[in-house]
Amino acid sequence: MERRKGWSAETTAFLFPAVVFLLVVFIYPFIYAIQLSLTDGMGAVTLANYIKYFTNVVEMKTILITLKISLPVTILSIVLAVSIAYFMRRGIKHEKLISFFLMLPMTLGVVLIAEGMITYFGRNGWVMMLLEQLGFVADRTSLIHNYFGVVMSLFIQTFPMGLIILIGYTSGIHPSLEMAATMLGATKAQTFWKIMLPLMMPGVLIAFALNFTSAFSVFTSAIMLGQPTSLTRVMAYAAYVHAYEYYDYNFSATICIIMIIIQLIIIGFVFALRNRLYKGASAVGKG
Amino acid sequence: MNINKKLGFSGVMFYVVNIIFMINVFGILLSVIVNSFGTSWNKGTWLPDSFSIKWWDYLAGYHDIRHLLWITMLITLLTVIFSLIIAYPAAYVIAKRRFVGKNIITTLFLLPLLIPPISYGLPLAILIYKVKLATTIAGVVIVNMVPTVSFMILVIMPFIEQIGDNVESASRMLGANKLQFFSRILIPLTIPGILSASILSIVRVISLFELTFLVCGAKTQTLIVTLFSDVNSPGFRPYQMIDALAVIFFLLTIVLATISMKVGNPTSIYSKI
Amino acid sequence: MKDFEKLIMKDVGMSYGDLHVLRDFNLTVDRNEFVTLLGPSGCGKSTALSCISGLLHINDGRIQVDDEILDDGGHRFVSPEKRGFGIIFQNYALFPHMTVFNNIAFSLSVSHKPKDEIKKRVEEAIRMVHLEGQELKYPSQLSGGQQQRVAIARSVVIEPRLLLLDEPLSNLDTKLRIEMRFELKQIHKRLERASIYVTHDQSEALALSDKIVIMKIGKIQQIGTPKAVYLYPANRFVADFMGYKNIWKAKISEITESEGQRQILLESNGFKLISRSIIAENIQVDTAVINAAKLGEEVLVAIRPDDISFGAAAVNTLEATVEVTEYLGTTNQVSAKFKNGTLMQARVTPSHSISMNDRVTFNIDSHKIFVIPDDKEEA
Repeated sequence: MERRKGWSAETTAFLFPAVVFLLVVFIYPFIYAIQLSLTDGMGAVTLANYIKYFTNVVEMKTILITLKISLPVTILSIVLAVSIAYFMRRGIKHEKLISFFLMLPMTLGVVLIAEGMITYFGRNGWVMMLLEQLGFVADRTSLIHNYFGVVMSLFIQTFPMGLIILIGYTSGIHPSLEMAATMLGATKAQTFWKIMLPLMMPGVLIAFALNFTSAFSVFTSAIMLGQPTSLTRVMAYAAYVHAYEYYDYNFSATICIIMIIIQLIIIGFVFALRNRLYKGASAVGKG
Repeated sequence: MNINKKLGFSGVMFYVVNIIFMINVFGILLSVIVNSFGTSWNKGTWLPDSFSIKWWDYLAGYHDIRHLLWITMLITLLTVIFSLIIAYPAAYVIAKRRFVGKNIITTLFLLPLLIPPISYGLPLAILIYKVKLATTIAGVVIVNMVPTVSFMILVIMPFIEQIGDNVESASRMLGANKLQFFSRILIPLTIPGILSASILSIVRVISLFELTFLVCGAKTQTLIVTLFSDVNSPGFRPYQMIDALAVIFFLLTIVLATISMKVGNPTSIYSKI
Repeated sequence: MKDFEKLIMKDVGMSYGDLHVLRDFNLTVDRNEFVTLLGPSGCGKSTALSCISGLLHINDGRIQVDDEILDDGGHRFVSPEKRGFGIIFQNYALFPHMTVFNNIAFSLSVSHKPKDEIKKRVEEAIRMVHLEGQELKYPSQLSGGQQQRVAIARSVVIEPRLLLLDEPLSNLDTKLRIEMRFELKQIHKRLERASIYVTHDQSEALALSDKIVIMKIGKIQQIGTPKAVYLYPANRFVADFMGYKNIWKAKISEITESEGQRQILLESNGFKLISRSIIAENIQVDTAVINAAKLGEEVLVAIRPDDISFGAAAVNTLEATVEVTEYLGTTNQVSAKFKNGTLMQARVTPSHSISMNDRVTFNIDSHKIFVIPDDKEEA
C-alpha cells in the first residue's frame, strides 16, 4: 500500500466519477430539499412550511402513525434477532440454506411480497382458511389493508437484515469468554445478560439504526397493505402526496427533512442510552 | 463445547420464528402462483374453482409483456453497466490506497445503502423533474444508479483486496506501466468479482421499486412498477392477472438470483453492511 | 463447597466421532498436588483438562472427587459451573467490557455475595497478584503480564477446590514466562489445593510439578515425579521428549551385578558400550530390559547430548563424521553420523575447532547411558 497521504493523480482520477456522481445525485438533493423546505413557492426564504406542518393536525398525526408502525416492528425485530443470533453463534447446520430463505423477501422486493400477501392473508386466503378450520375465528376477515398488514410486511423485510448483522457479532465473540464465565459459576442466563449481550451491543445498535430507518421510511407497504389515506397515512406517503398530487414541492421537502430529523433524534437517543448503560471497550476478547 | 444440549429460549425462538417465517413466505409465493392459474377463487376454498391459463392470456392482452421485459432489462443493464464503470475504479482506490479523507469518502460511498431509498428518492425525484429528465430512460437509470454504485463498490472491493499488494509492484518491476497493469493483470484477475457484482446488482436493480416509481413514465415503467400500479392505481384489474404478472417477475428474479448464487455468496455481501 | 482428598479419573475416554482424542486415561490427583499434563500439540492434554472442568463430556470411564461422581460418560454429570473448579485460559479470556475489579469480582457477583464481602475479597486478590492501582482499568489497557494476573486473580478469588491452568504462560515472552512461573507456584502454595497444569514446555513442567503426566496422541505414556520422568523415561517417546536426543538400537551381550551396581554390556552402531547404574533406583525399567536380553531382542539406549564428551576415554569411545557443527559459545552443538548411518547429537567442549566432514572421537559417561525396551514406535 502506498503511504502517500495526499491525492495522487491516479487516486483523484479514479475517485472522481463516483464522488462527483454521488455528490450531485445523492448529497445535493438533500441540500436542495433543505433549501426547498425553507423557501416558499416564489423562492423567498421563510419558515412558513415548518410552521404549517407543526400546526396541521393531520400532518402531525402522520408522525404518530409512522412511529406506531416503525417502533414496535423494529423492537420486535431486534429482540428476535438478538435471541436467534445468540442461538446461532457457533454455527448451525444448513446455515447457508436458512440465510438464503431469510433473505428471499429482500431479494424479491417489497412489492412482490406485499402483492402476494394480499391473496395469502386475504379473506379467502390460506391463513384465514386455516384459522377458521382450527376454530380460532368465526367469520373470515381480511388480515391486511390495515395496521397489521403493514407491520407484517415491514417485519418480513427488516428482520432478516438485523439477524444477519447480529450473527456477525455473536460469532465474533470468542467462545473462551463464555467458557470462562461458566467456570466462574455463571448460569447460562447470567452469562447471556452479563457477558454476551454487552459484547453484542455495538451490533444491536447498528441493527437498530438500520432497521429503524428502514421501517420509519415505510412507503410501499403502507400503500399496498394499509389504508394510506387514513389509518396508515405514514410520513413518506404524505410527502409523496404533497409532491405528486398537490405539486407543493416545498412542503413535500419539508416533510422529508422532518423525517430525517426525527430519525436522527431517535437513533441518537438510543445511542446515548447505550453509552450510559455500558461503558468500556467493545473489543471482543483476545485470542 | 458440548454443554448446550437443552434448547433454551433462544433455541425455541430460532425454530419457531424460522419455521413460521419460511412457511409464510412459501405460502405467499405459492398463493400467487396458484391464483394465477385459477379461474376464480373467492368462495373460501383451499384451491381455486378450476384451473386454466385464461388469466395469462388476459395478461398478454392487457400488458405488452415483451415491451415490459425489454424496458426492464434495458434499464437494468444500463444502470449496472454505468454503475460498474464508476464503481470499479473507486473500489480499487478504496481497497488499495491510503489518502486524506478516506473515511469520509468511504462513508459517502456507503451511505446510499444505509439510507432508505424513499428518503433520498423523493428529494432526488423532485430534482429530476425540475431538470426535465423525468419519465425518460436516462432519468430512471440515473436514480437507480445511486444505490447501485454504492452496492457495486461494496461487492467489488473484496475481490480487489484479495489481490496481493506486491502483484502490482512485481508487474511494475517487470516493466509494465499503469495502464498495462490494469488491462493485463488487475482486470483479468478481478473478472470473477466483476461478474459476481454485476449479476448481484442486476438482481437488485430489478426489484428496486421506489426510485423508479418516483421518476418513471408510462412507457418507462419497469416490471415491478407495473405490478404495483396494477394493484394500486384506480380501476379494476383481476388479481389472477396481477398474480400472473407477479409470477413472471418472480421467475425472472429467482433465475437471476440462482445464477448469482453460483457466482458468489450473496448473504455475505449483506452482512458487510 | 467441600474440599476433596482425591480427584480420580478412571479409564476415561473421549472421542469425536471416530477420532479418539483421549483413551484409557487413569490419573489420581491428591489435594495440594501440582500435576502437569505434558506433551506435544494434539496429545489430548487440553482435552483432558476440558473433561475435568466439565466443559466437555467424556464418553467412557469416570471422573469423580472422593465419592462424588462428576461425569460417568452417561447420565450422571455435574455441570461446570457447579464443580467449584477454577480455570485459567491460554488467552486469559478476560471480559473486555469490564474493569479489572469487575472481572475479578464476577464469580462473586454471580453467586450473589454481599457487596462488602466482594470488595474485601477482590482487593485481597488484587494484592496477591500485585495489581494494586489497576482496579479501574480495562483489559485492553493492560500488558500481557498484567492480563495474566487478572486472569489468575479472577479464578482464585472464589478459592476453587481445584485450579486448572491451560498453557497460561504460552503467550508471554521468555523472561516474563520465567517470572510468572514462580508466581504461579506461589499461588498454588497459598491456595493449598490441587492444581492441574497443561503445557508442552518440558522445563516448565519440571520446575513446577509434583507429578508429571506425559501424553502422546490421547494416551498416557508415563506418570512420575519430575526426577523419575527426567532420569528414568519409560519409553522411547518420553525419552525423546525429555531431551534424550540420542536414541539408538542396541543389543545386550551381558548383564552383571555386583556390589549394588549393575553393568550392562551392549553393542550399538558397531561400538561396544557399557552402561553402569546403581541397582536400587532402576526398578521400573529392569524387567523388560532383562527379558529383552534373555530373548536376544533389541533394546534402545538413550543418551543426552550433554552427556557425550569430546575425545577418547577408557570405555564407551565412538567415532563419527561431523555433519553440522554450531558454535554456541562455551560449547559446540555437533551433529555427526556413524559409519552405519545413524545420527548422533552431542554438546561438547572441543579441545580444537571442528568442522564439517571431520572424523571425531567422542566418549560417553557409562553412568549416563540409559537402557530402555524397544517399543518399536517412532518417537
